[in-house]
Order: sequence, then C-alpha cells, then structure tokens
Amino acid sequence: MKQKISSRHGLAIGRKVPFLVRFKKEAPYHFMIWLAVGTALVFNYLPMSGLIIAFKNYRMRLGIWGSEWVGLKNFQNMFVDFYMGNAIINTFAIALLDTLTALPLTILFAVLLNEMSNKALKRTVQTISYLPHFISWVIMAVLLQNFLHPIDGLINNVLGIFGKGPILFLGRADLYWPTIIIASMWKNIGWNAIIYLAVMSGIDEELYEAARIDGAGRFARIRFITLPCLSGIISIMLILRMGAITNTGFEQAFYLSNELNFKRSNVLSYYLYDIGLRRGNFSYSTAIGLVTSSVSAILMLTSNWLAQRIKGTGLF
Amino acid sequence: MLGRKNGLMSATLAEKVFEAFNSGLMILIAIITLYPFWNSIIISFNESIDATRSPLYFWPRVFTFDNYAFILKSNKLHSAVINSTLRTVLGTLLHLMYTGIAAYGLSKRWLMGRRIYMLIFIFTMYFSGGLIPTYMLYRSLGLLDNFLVYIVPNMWGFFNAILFMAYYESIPDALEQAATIDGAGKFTIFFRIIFPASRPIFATIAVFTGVAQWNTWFDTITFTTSDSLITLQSLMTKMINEAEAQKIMAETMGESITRGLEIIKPVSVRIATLVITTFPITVVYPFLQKYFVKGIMIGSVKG
Repeated sequence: MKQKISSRHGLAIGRKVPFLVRFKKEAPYHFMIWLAVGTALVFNYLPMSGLIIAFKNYRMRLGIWGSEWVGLKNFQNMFVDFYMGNAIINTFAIALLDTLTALPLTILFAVLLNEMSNKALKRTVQTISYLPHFISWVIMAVLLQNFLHPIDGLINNVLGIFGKGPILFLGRADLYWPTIIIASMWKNIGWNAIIYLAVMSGIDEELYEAARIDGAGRFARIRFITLPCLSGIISIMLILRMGAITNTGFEQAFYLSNELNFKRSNVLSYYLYDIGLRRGNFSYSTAIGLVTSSVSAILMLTSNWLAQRIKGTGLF
Repeated sequence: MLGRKNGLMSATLAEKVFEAFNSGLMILIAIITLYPFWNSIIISFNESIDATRSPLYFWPRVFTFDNYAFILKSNKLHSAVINSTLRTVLGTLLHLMYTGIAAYGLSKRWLMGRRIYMLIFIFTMYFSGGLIPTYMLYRSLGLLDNFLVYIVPNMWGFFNAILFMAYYESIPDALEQAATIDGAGKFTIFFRIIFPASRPIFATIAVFTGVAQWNTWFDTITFTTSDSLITLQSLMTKMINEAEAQKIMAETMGESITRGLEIIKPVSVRIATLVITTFPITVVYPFLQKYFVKGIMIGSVKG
C-alpha cells in the first residue's frame, strides 16, 4: 500500500496522511466531482442496468421484473433477421465509403486553402466553408428535398438543360449512398478542415525555407513536410471516427429513407430506433443496442491500441 | 504561407498559375457552400404561387413578405421560438456551471481516488445503455413530455469537462495559493478567481453547447409529444411532411383553409420557417470563430 506522503495539505513532508484528514482537506473538490458522478450514475449507468431487458421479453404492462426471461433468444433472432444483416452491411459500407472519400478530400481542401497567399480571401473562404456545419440535419433534409426534387428541384432542372432526364435521387437505392456522402461532405468538410489547418499553422516555417532552398517545388514540400506533420492528427481523427461507426447514417436515414431506398438506407442505429420506438419491440431493440455498443467499444479500444503501437500516440 | 513571395525570388509563372487556379477553385467552393442558403432566402421572399411555377436561381422574381407574414402568425411558431431560445439559454448556462465546476475538482491531479473518478467517466465514453433503456429511465424519472428533458440530461458532458480541465491546467497555481492564504474556500476560489480567468474556455464551450441546444431535434421527437414543447427544429421536422405542413398552415388560416392554400403553398412556408430557424446561427457564427477554433485545438491536440 503506497504511503500517502503529502506536503500539499500543510503537513510535514514524509508523514503518512490519514485517509480522513486528507479527505477533510480535499472535501470541496470531491463535492464538485460528485455533481458529475451523480449525473453519470443516473444518466449513464442506470440505463446500463436496463440492458437486462435484452435477455427478456419485455412487456410494459409486466414491468422489467415481471417480463419473462428468454435468455439469448433475441440475439439468436439477429442472425436470422434479414434486415439486421442488411443494416450491418449498410452501416459499415457507408462508414467506409465516407471515410475513404471525405478524409482525403478534407485534407486536400485544407492543404489547398493553406497554400493561398491572399490572406483575406483565405479567411473568407474558410469562414464560409464551415457554415453548413452549423445547420441541423432537419434543415439539411429540407434543402436536399428542395434541390433534388424530380420536377422542381434545381439539380434536375440543370440536368434538363443538358438534355438529361430527371433523376429521382431520393427514390433510388443505388443513388442513396452517393447522395448522402456528397451531402455530408458539403456539410462537414469545412469544419473538419479546421483542425488540419490549425495543425498546419503550427509547422515551422524554417522547414519550408530549407526545402525551398534545396530546390523542392510546391508539391514536393507538401508531400514531404505538410503531410507527414499531419499524420499524427489524422490517426487521432481516425480513432475518433472508429467510435462513431455504429452511429453512422442515423440522421440521414431518419429523414431520407423510404420504402424505395430502404435496402441501402437501413443502418444499425436507425434499425434500432425503428424496432424500439416505432414498433415497440423494446427487448429486441435493446439487444441490438447491446451488440452495437459492445462492438463500438471494441473498435475504439482496438484502434487506440493500434495507434499506440504504431505511433506512440493515442487518446487515453 | 507557402506561396509567399520570397524577397530574393519573384513568383514564377508556374506559381502564379497555381495561385490563380487555386483561388478560383476556393471561390467556387465558397459559392457552392453558400448557394443553398441563398436559394432558400430568395424562395422565402418570393411570391408563393410564382415560386412553384419554375425554379428561382439568383433573385426573387416577385418579391414579397407574405410568406413570413403568414408563418409569423402561427402559434406553433411562437411556441417553437420560445422553446428553442429557452432551452438554448438555460441549457447552456446550466451546462457551463455544472460541468465547469465539476471539471475544476477533477482537474486536481493529486486528488484522492481521481483515477477511479476518471475511470467512471471514461467508461461512459466507450459504452452506454442505449436508446431504449434511456427512454425507460426518462419515463420513470418523469422526464418524458417535460421541458426538463432538454436541460437535465445535458448538464454534464465528459468531453467538455476534458476541455475545461486542459484549460484549468494553464492557470498558475500561485493564484489559487494566494487566495488560499487569504482564507478563501475552494468554491470561493472557483467563482472569484478560476471562473474569471477562464473566460476563453467558457466562451468556447458556450458556443459548442449553444449550437448543440439550438440544433437538437432528436430529444424533442423521441421524448416529447405535447405541442407546447415543440422547438424550431421539431417544427421543421413536421413541415417536411406535406400533409403535416398543410395541417400546421390550416391552424393559422382558420376557416379559410381551402382558399388559403390557393394563395400560399406549403413549400414557401416551409422555406420561410427554415430561414427563421437557421438565421440566428448563420448571422452569429462568424463572430464566434475564434472560440470554437480554439476549442477544437485544445480538444484534439491535447486529447
């Protein structure tokens, strides 16, 4: 047992500090923290105890204890549930596609923005670029509805000028993924670029000077200085992205999914919501949630561990 | 930075071309970003029947305030504005104080049992009970269909606490020690010294929380049913659906509904509501830039 040696509480150095004395001195801080612990216990941990209904056939009339215990039946059902498999595939596909397209484009945008020599224009473009981040997905959905409308929508009208037929963007399963990914890019690239720009502004000017003197052109300087300096923050961003995978596509599905594109718009988080709060199958929905949370936790831990192995950085 | 003309060398033709191309591209991106907003504005100021005839591109064809005059009469809109504003202000203030104080306690690294506290919080970032158990909890706490559901669950946020803690570390110990010598209690120190010294981080978190509160729609839809609790975002959710939008319009028009729908179409009312919902944030956000840029930096770099 470590000796609690402390000079911080005004006692002579080297003396063991009794638990109660230390607590009395530190008490106000603990009270402050207990505010948060209390909230966490109520709003984070209490719901975790509700996970038990995943192993029951929960009926609101019977309450949690009165509902019948069914063991792993809800989980077994997942394996034969077509929509569950479909949701898993869509979730990971959308997350993967989104990362593969959005991440490089965000970095490209940040790098190009950084290369601008006209400071006023650079600042203006940057400020404009993250405006879409500040609107909610409700608003986004209305804008998309407006622009992608087959008859009145702007996009289809422009296509009409070039002689292309109207495209029912929101009614076609094969167009769903591109549509929401491009929409997400419009919404998020400016905001996500902020962190990369911030890191880039911290890169030492002398590195660039030295490279320029050595004859490195603009693209060489980007390749050998800018990008390597960004690798740290990129891996942190990817780790954070891992934790959010299971939540992918919820808002888009909520507003943009319909029977026509359901094959592609059905994602885990939305399926969970639909099963639980729309159709009232609390138990099955909770079971899906338990699986989703666990997978998400494993992904986060794994990517964090991986990052620490590779680079020595990590989140925790 | 990189394209800056060095005193010894003048910009070569290649650099000039790149600069022009890059600037052009950036301007194009800015236009693409802004256009949907601009388009919404011109539709909202355009006479409704005319707007549905053919698309508007750059300017209103038939300028009018009618769409706004109409929606501003709606009781639902009044409730929505009040609720959105109230939850943003109250929710943000409470969150700042609650999380700000708790994070201060947590920022003392030498505190007894700190590691346990941190573990309790860190675990919640990895794992949660999920939607249904949360819904059941709110039901038993009486938070369903209750304004407090907008406020209470949002009082503490560990992610923001991390940002607070990172900032508190930059405050010199000497300030607190001097106050302690003068006999100040820990809470007094927080309110009299730490809080005034932490204005930047409080401003940053205020921006993050405020925007989140204004934009949240999920809790309204999932946890409330009364019309008295609708927010601008949930009103928008209703208006996406054509039938719902007409219903809302009908409430304002009263008896003249059939006649009314010949004059003003749901799409115009919807877009006008959209502009009202988005307007506050759009106007305010450029001035808040320095706050959230700093916040992002602390959050991601410091981890």
